[in-house]
This record gives sequence, structure tokens and C-alpha cells, in this order.
Amino acid sequence: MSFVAAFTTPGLHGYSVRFSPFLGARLAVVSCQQYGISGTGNVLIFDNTSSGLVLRQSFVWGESLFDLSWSESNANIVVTAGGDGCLHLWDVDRTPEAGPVNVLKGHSREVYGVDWCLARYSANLVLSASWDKTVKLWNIGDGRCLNTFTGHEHIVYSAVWSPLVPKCFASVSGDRTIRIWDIRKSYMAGITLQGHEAEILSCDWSKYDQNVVASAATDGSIRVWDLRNPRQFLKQLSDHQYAVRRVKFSPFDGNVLLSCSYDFTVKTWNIGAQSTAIEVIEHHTEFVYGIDFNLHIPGQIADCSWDETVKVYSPVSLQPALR
Amino acid sequence: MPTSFRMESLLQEIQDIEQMYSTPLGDVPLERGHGSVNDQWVQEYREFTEGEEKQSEWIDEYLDLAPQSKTGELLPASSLWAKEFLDFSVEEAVKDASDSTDQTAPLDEVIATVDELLRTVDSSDPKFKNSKFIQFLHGLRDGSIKLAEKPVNESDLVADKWISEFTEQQSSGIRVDDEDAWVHEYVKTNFSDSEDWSWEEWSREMHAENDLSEQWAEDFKTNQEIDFWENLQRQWEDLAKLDNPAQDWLSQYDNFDTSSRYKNYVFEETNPLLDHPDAFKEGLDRLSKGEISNAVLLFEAAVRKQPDHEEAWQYLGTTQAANEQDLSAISALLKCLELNAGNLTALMALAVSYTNESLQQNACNTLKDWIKANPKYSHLLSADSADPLLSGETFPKISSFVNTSDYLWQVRDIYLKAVQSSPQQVDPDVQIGLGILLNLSTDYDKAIDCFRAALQLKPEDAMVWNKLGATMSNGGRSEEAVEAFRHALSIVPGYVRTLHNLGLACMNLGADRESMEHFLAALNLQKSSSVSKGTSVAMSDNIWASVRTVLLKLGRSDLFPVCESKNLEMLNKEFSINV
Repeated sequence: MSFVAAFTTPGLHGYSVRFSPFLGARLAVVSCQQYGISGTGNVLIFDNTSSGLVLRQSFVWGESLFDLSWSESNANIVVTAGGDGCLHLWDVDRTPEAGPVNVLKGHSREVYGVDWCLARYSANLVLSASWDKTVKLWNIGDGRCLNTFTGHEHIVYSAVWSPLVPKCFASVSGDRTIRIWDIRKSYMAGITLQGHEAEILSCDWSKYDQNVVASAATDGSIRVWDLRNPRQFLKQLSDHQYAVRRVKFSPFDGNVLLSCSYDFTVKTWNIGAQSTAIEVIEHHTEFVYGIDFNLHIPGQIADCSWDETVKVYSPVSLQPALR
Repeated sequence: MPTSFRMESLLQEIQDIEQMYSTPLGDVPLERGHGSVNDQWVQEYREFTEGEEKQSEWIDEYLDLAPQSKTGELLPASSLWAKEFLDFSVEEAVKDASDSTDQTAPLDEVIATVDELLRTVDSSDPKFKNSKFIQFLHGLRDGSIKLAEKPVNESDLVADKWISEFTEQQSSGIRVDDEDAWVHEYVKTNFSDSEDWSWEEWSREMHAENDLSEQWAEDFKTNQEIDFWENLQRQWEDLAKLDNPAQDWLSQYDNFDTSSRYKNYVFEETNPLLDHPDAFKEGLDRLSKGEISNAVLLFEAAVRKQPDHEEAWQYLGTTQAANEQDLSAISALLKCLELNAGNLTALMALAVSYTNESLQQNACNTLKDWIKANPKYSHLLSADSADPLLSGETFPKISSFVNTSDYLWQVRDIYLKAVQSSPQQVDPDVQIGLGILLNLSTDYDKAIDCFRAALQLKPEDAMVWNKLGATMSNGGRSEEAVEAFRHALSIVPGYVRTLHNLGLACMNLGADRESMEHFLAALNLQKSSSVSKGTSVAMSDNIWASVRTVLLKLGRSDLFPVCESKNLEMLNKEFSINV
């Protein structure tokens, strides 16, 4: 593997990392004191420069922060999900003392996942997934909750917009299901998949096939689904030894997946080729909690871990294929 | 599969405990049980968790049953059990005790939870021996580490503070502009429904009433969404009708027909070589000199004059591939195959282009067709007529990949049989086909062996040198790849594709500046094929995308607009390229 740009954040344990959709050299991380069990949550903005990762800005919040998402309409804005049950909006250009631009209350429990809608309507739409068993849809502009999606029977760990089907999202929960929703129907999911035999922590949509979804569970399994046959998974990837914290489809190749796990590793997969991992990256000494693809530099990814580090690198198996 | 610790559960429990102590007493549902039977209940419950499969109803009432493992045991660190227990005992403790600020009780509960968790950790796993997190948990348990103290309702206070500030500022008009700037940015949507569908109306409705009437919701559906949900509905209905849904459902639909997409070859708008008297011959001549881009224009001229010229279409296809234009290559090769389905050269080249475009299924089908059309090996297919694959039927074109890797292996096995069928004599084309398949299955080292074997017999085949280099690079052997690419370029100096690949290999090696030079060289070659200046020449989008990536890596995102406008002259100047 080529060069790894790393940054150490002493005392702060990374929960989620995302590249900016606007700037290929910018990424944001949410990171917590005391492993997110107690203490503060921190938003860290990095620029990946020729001399490595540089911390451009940071904000502190009194509660743990579990996830973040960049705005799709403004390069400076980040939304975070917190243990206080709120969403917080941050402006990278503001001083840390100024605090967040806005705080959205609504959930009655911790918010564990947040996702900003890719489609740009006149309103900026954001989804939040909470331990209160619901997913909420927000209009960021006026801070109002537009809809609350009920149905999950356990905490909801993640909610992710479909990149290809408008007004549609997927959510996963401790109730072991994956649910696909139409945002206008709040009382019931359009599809419920009995996903795994364990709690499901993460899911992601294929960027190339609107019917394909991947999910990852606490028993270490990753499953790929075609919604046209919700009863049976297409593929199972079982290499991870412990719970898989996050799974993501590549924006560059419809067959490629990336996952990170409690087994301290990051793995790449090619489901068109085989069901075992193509590459295993083991450069962390604690749980790896966050991964993301860089949309601007094909093959470059970032990860963050409870070992107090953030790393940006280009795994061999993700490099664009030569023709 | 070892039980992993339920990290989220732990966090949940601990946060619950903390919140309990920072919030005032809530109403306790007295139905939960009476203080006096607390211990007894717990005792009885503990017995149940030792593997007892049946659960009495009354236990169900007290618990939201946590998801059970397959054997019916409750999983050890069952969060809800712990949560309910803690809820219950905490409320009891507070009710009984006069001093409601006793801080030692909750800590005990945290410790108990942590203890439970640590017991589920596989301590023999060396990972966890050295884990600072596990040490942190140990610290919590033995009291040497304290959780950060939270003042009562701090987070609520903080949240309220910002909210009140925000609303203050909003009403005073200070921040309205800031907010407007980014909120009201009206960026064009990816979906065409922005005009039809009014967000403001809908969100107003949302707040007026909680329940959406279905009819009203229907009105807002766009075609794309109707297709998605209704299509799904139809699929599920079809699925329900099948006898053997698990097996058969995939072959039921064929919605990924690529041939329609590539039906029409798109010609270069202005072709200065259009009226050449003997375009095909001239094309072959230019090709032999390594002038890829000019050869393309000449072959285009040839097929425009004579649309049934099979060989011209074939050469157009292979040359466009060399010109880093796979989509055009596919169109041209399909046209060639329409005229002669057994054209082996066209079939192999088509398989390569399909692979490049990640059309794995199509690539496999085409490679199978190559075997079928090849008199030396077609017998391998008709061997087992029961197997639809071997009997030569085309595998249904589906967009899912459930069977793709299986299919891939099956086609690969046919090629292996082909190799074995003439052990004395290496057939370079079979080796090439096998090499492509091994590339698809990411067996790069084996693929390299195949291309090397082919090169033994076709040492001057630049296409194979290029493929060898590409495979090496994909397999992480970028330095060797560079060697192979240089070899290809020594045979065909104008090999645009190879120059692009060389640039990509350099990027992998961190030689960003050099990679830019190769990309620009490739683009200049493509552009130079216009005999008279001012004609629009199709430069490859792939190469421009690579230019953009390397600009970012070089820290020259200031040149993005130059890239967007495909201003090659400007880039040549910036990077001192002499054309």
C-alpha cells in the first residue's frame, strides 16, 4: 500500500469520518472522549495536504457525537448526531467559541446516524437514526422535523438515502431488520427484510444498481441484497471476526465494497469476483468505527478508530483498474 | 461465530444509568413489580438464563425480550435485560432511600454492566490483551478510572442555550442573511421532479396534520419513483408464482440488455479524412505506423462508404479500444459481429472492452461465444447438453451478480479445458481469454502468466503487452507494469491507451508530475489527428478524468476550470509540454 497520511487525536476516539463532497482534500471526523461513553464530542475538520493531514478547525460539544454528514449544498456545513438526542449544524468558518449554527431537538434518545440527502431540492433534507427506535426527516433550513418513521422494534443504528431512487431511504436496527422507506409514508416501511441473525449496525446502497443494498451485523456478517427478492440475500461475506461497524459501496465500481470492524481491520471486497476479502488492512490497535471513500480521488479512503487516529490512504485493491 | 461484545448495548446502558441520575424522577409504573419480590425475581430470572429454553409468561411481561440466539438462550450481555433491571432497581433504591443523591449506587451498576461485558470478551485473543479500550473498561470496573462528571441537565442546558441564541438572532435579523445564503441556494436537482413537486407545500401539509392521506401522497409521486415501487411490487408478485423461487427468480427477467445501448455507432462529427479514396487500406497503413487516432478516422470513413465491410468494422473496434474509447469500440465490434458472428478477433476484443466497462456478465458471455465460434474448441461446449452453460446457451443477462462469480469460474474452467486440450502447443488466444477471466476474478498473478505465455508466440503484439502491464498494475506490481507499457509503446508509439495506463501506473507510484505528462501526451495524440485545426476531435473522457485527479493530487485545483473546458493548450503550457 502506498503512503498513509495519519493524524493522532490524543484522548479522542473516532466514531465517524466523511470526505467533503466539494473538496477532495477535506474531511471531517467526529471523535469522543472516553470512547463515547462519557465526556465531550468533537468535530474535527482536516485538510489533506502534501505535508500530511492538517487540522483546520475543531469544535467541542458537551455530549458524545456519534455520526456526521456534510451538507450537499454548502461546502462549509456539517451536521452531527449526538448522545443528547440532537442534531447540530456546524459552519467550518466559524470560530469554535461561536458554537453550532443550530441545534435540532426531537429525538428522545441518542442519535446514532445522520445522512444529508444527495438530491438537492429547494429544502435541505437530513435523516437521523436514533436509539428511540425512530428515524426522523428534517428540513435543515427551518430546523423542523418533517416526518417520524416508526416501525423498528429496537434502536435504529443507521439511515441512508438511496442515491438513485428519489425520496427513498434504508434503515437498519437492533431488531435485525433492514427497512426501506418512502419518505411520505411514516407509519410503515415499504419493505422489511429479515436481514441477519444479529443486530444490524450499518447499511449502504449500491451506486450502480438501485435495487441493491448491503448490510452489516454484530455477528461479523455482511450481506448483499436485491430488493426484488427480499427473502434471500445475494451474497454473504463472513471474513470479519467480530461485529462489522460500517459497510460502504464504492462510488467507482458497482462490485466493490469496503467494511470496517471491531476486529480492528478494514477490508475490501469484490462481489463479482469472490466472497472472501480482496485486501485486509490492519493498521489500527482498536475498533475501526468509520470509513469513507473520497469521491474526488478514486481509490483513496479514510478511516477512523478508537485508537485515537485518523488515516487517509489508497489501498491497492481500490485503485482504478487499468484497461 | 464468536459472540462479539455488544458495544452499542454497553454505551446504551451506561448512558441510561447516567441519565437516570441527572433527570428528575419519572413516574414509575407500579405494575412492574413490588419491591419485596425484586431480589427473588432476579434470582429466578438468573436461573432462566443458564440455558433454559422456556420462558414463563410473567417474565415476558417484565422484560422486553432481547433477541435470542438460535438455541433459545438469551445472549449474555442482553442489553434490555440489564436496562430493565437497572431501571427497576434504581427506581426502587431511590424510592426507599431518603437521600436521592447517593452517587455510589449508580456506579455499582455501571461496574456490573462493565463486568458483564468484560466477561464476554475473548481474553485469549491477543488483540484485546493490548487494547486500551479493554484496559479502560478494567479501569472503570476497579474504580481507577472515573467517568467524566456531568452536571445535571448540562446537555439540555447547552442545547437550549444555542437554540435560544439562534432564535434571538433570527428575530433580530442578524443571521437571516447567512441562513438564506445557503439554505435558499436553489441548486438543480438530479431528479427531474423539482418543478412538479413543491417542497414548501408538502412540508406545510406535514405540519398541518400528522396523517397523510394516501391519495394526496399519490399525487406527488413522480415517474421514477412509481417505477421503482411498482416494479418491485410486480417482481414480488412474479416471484410468488414461481415453483422454486430461490433458484429460478433470476432467470425470470432480462432487464439489462446492453446491446440496445451500443446499437448505434457514433461517428466523429467532422472527419477530414472522410473522402479518402482508399480509406481502409490507408487506415491499415497508418495503424502499422502506430498512428492510432488517424487510423480511427480512416476506418470510420471506410465503414461510412461501405457499411457491410466486416473487416473495417473490426479494425475500427480494435483501434478505438487502443484509442481509449471502449464505448465506441463496443459499438463497432457489435456491428462487425452482426455481419459475421464468428469473427474471433472481434469477439476477443469485445470481451476486453466489456471487462473495461465492468460489464462482467457480458464479458463472460462473449468469451463463451469465442469458444463456441472456434472450431478447435467448440466441442468443449456441446459436451454436456444438460448444463445450459456448456450447451452454449447464452446466460440470461441480469443486473444482479449473485451468480456472476460462479459463472465466471465456469467459463474459466472451459478455457482451462481448452488449454489442456492441446498441451504441446500454446494457443496465444486461449491464453489471452484466460488472462481476461483471471483478471476478472482478481487472480492477477495467474493472469500475468497467461499473458506472458501469449507473448512468447506473439512478441510484437502491443495489445498483449498493454494487457500485461494493466494486469501487473491492477495486481499492485506497478514498477513492472511500467516496463510492459514501454515495450508496447516501442511497437506502437501512438498507443493512446498505453500512455494513459502509464500515467495511472505513475500515479500509483506517487510520480504525479510524470503521470500528468503521460496523460497530456495521450490527449495531444488524440487531438493531433485532426488534419485541419478547428475540428472537434473526440478526446477520451477517461483521460480527462485522470487529469483532474492528478491536478488535485498536485494541489493544482486552480486548474480545474481549464480541465472542465478541455483546454489542452493551456495545460501543455502549464506543464511545459512541447507538441
